[in-house]
Amino acid sequence: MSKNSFKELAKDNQKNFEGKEKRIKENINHSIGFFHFIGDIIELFVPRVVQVFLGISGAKGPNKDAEEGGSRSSDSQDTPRYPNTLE
Amino acid sequence: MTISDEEAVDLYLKTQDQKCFDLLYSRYSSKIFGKCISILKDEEKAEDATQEIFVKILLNLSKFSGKSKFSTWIYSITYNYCIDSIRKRKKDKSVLVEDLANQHDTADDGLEDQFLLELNVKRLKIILDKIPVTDKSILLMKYQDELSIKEISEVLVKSESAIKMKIKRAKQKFKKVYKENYKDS
Repeated sequence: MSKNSFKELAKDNQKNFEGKEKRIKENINHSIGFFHFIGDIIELFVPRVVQVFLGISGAKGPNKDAEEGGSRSSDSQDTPRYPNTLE
Repeated sequence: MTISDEEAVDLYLKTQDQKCFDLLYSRYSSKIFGKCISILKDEEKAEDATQEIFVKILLNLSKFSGKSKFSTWIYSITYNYCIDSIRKRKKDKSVLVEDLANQHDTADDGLEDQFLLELNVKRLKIILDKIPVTDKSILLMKYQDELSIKEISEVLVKSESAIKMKIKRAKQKFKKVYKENYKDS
């Protein structure tokens, strides 16, 4: 087999890895675990935060409208949709 | 039973089985570390880089399309990470200028391949540490990883003709620095 000094250099460099293998692997697992944790948090809480904001802004979900079944109060029927405009 | 890298990737994506990761880690961790230490020239930084590269690989595993070999994909992440990291550290903008400056040089590529491959390892290391990081990376890809021109072009996102030119210039640069350091030989 012909000589390849680049391959020999690679072997030399890889020798420095001995003893570090386990520690680096643990760190990688910690990092991945942390990312999964953040992902789970986002998955769990973001929809709820959106719901809270919708609640604060007064927006109603489609189900709530359906429950009312179009039976609006007399106030809402009497008052114009845009009070300060001529309809 | 041994499974291929691509099969291990598929299995990991489907099952998130730690054994698949262990397999890929045992196959590539020392190689990645070796490349990092070769480019970054610092054991501690190489250790951090290996860790970050593996995290990057795992987080982007679903993006691996299988068009290229898994090893080529992994090396592309490694080389690009190391080159970016050196550039950030040194703000090395001289690379392009050096490339342009070497445009008029000529080289006998056939002889140089033999010369490079049979060079004393200590001398090889010294000269590689003295040439720009992009030249060094491209020589490592060609002679250490034995990537084809097409694979190197995928790694560096350049055309094949541009890669041929870059290899030629990297070799010229290597030869020039070698002559400066070892005038007797």
